[in-house]
Amino acid sequence: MKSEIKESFLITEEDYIDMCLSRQKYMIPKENKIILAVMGIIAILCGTEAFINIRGNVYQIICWFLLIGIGLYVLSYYEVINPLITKDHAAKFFRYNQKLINSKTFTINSETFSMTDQMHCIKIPIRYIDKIVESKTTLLIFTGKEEFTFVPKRVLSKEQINIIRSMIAEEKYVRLPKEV
Amino acid sequence: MAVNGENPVLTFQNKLRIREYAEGYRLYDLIRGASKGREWKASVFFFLGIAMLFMLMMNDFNIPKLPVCTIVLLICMYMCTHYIYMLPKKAKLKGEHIFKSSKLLSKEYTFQFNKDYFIMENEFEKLKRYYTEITDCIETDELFLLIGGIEKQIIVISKRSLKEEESQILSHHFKREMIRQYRRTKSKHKGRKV
Repeated sequence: MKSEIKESFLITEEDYIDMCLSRQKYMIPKENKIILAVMGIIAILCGTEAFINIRGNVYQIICWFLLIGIGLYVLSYYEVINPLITKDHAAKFFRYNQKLINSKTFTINSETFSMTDQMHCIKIPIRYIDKIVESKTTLLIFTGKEEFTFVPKRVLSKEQINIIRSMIAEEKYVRLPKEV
Repeated sequence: MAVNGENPVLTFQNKLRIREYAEGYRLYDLIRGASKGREWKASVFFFLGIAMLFMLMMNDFNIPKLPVCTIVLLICMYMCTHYIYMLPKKAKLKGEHIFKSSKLLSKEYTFQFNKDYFIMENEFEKLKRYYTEITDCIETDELFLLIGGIEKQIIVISKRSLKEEESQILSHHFKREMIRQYRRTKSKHKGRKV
């Protein structure tokens, strides 16, 4: 089995957007999503119930619809609205900073991990990797809670991904449950 | 000290403490993070809350008659507290958490400042950054904060390990090279509004 993986690549706008979406998916705590979903459902149910049973004057009807609207917004926030905002921000950020994007070389073996480009070079022992998060499109390599680098999965074969997975401890490798 | 294209303006070694990084992260959060624009966001909720309170007052605080008003008032009160008190504290705690989780942030870095760019490096990492990549350069009594770039967006330089003279050279250098980005703010308690 080949013990070292070395690939060079250039980050595209799609890669950058995919990375931002994957990071967001990983970073948002599950409890937050559940709390917002429950709050949204409660608001929708309360609004619908009030509209059917109380109704009232025009002002009150507007209030019930407002409540249903807020409920829908809250319910869809993490699944629809937030990814759309992130996508937009990521695309703008990438276009603004496009001149800073250089080709990168990613190397990993059983001892070290490195990522180099013209401006930034990081070479750390593999035990310094905090987590590797695999989404449908991206491998996020965390060296701290918010410090990370990434490799688009399009530059790696399935076999190479399996080798990377075998190189680090099982509890440090996270596969995002739902495809991004 | 000579300043030309080749000679470094200043070279020094710097090691961060958790408190310094947390303060830097708090400033970053105020300028570019979740706390950005918290004053106007809080004021929107404040005035919305006042409007709801006024409506409740007009109806003799008949809460069952105006349940939505009451709920919106409560939400507004929570959001005001969230933006004014909770968010900056959260940012500082998050900064501490990030520092603790990173194996690299606590390591000693060698900084070399040149006319157009600087280099920071240690045994594991080397970063070269041009001043044109920096979007914000903040100086406080305790630290310099450089924000920008794609990787390592937050760079905190502690003044603790710098001599008074070195600190002044660096400060003048930033003022000269990053006229638009440079700002000086007071220490953490007074310097909340950046």
